[in-house]
Amino acid sequence: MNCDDFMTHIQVIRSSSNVQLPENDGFTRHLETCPKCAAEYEEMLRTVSLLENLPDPAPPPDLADRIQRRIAKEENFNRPAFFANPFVRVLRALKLNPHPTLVNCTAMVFYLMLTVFLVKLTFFSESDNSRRVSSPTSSVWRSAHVVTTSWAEIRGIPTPIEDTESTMPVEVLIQER
Amino acid sequence: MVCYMIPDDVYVHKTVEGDGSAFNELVQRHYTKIYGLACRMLGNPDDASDATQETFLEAYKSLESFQFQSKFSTWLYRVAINTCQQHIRKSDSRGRTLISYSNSLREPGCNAEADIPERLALKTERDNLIQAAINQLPPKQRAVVVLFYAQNLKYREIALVLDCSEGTVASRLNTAIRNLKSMLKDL
Ligand SMILES: [Zn+2]
Repeated sequence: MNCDDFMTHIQVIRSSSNVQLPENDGFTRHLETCPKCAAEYEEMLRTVSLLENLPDPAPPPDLADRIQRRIAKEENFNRPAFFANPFVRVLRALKLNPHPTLVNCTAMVFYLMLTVFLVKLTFFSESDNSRRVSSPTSSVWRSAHVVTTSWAEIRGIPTPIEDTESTMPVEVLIQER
Repeated sequence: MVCYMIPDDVYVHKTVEGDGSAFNELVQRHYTKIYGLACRMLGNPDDASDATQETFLEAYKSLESFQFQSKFSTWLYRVAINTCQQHIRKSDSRGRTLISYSNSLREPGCNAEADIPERLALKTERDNLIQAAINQLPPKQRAVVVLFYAQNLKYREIALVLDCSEGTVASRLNTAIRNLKSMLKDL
């Protein structure tokens, strides 16, 4: 065994163990006869011993409290709001687990739509005609009709028919007098 | 390793079922070890405190993804290692570490903050130099060294945490020790 073989295959992971060398007499013999490799081996044992004796860092005394507070905050933030509880029950029954913010938003939109529907049902439940009359803009829309014209006509400029851009039909709302 | 009458898995189940206080028990059981791991991985007590909090927060949020295929502690170590590696990547953690260590070496014993336990843990000059050498290792080698020497995990457990083979663990550890040997030559 030469020095290169020794250094390539030697593995030192514990300082206390007696079985530091691979199970091959060549390693032990080389170690006994080569001061350079013996020094390297000692150096590795010393490095490992330094690592083994590193103390365990003590955590700050309030660290556990800080962790628990942060988790409680997260829990409150991510908990569906009280008004979303019926939705949560339905979603649980369906074995669905969307993000609480999504559940809250859905619940809010649902309640908003329900409110609009109820208000409409209570105050605006008359016939279609009476609703039109009551609207301030309805007279304008009733008397308006749609005609098709071209940009050229609007501008008052006579242009050749081949000019596709200027003859492109547009819809213009003209109010009857 | 501490053995508890009620295994971690019971508290994991309770937490997933909505019992918020069950997770507190898991925090109490593991935060010292996770802080120790973060401290050695990041070499800076302040970063270690942040990383420990983030680890538990992340674990809490993704607890439903824990499949009970390994021990809860192994899974938690994996979350912690990922969090620490994110810290190393994101911030200039190495720079901050070296500054904090060189400052503590310049003012031995006269730093009022040195009495705070989290700084006390890293107070001796020799420990500081060893820690500074660990900080110089690439993150993957650092993780193996910390899990093996500071957390006393076996090759098999480290392989599970780092999601690699035991052979890879052995090889990384060997390389790391050789690197540390040359860095700590003059110590
Ligand atoms: Zn030799």
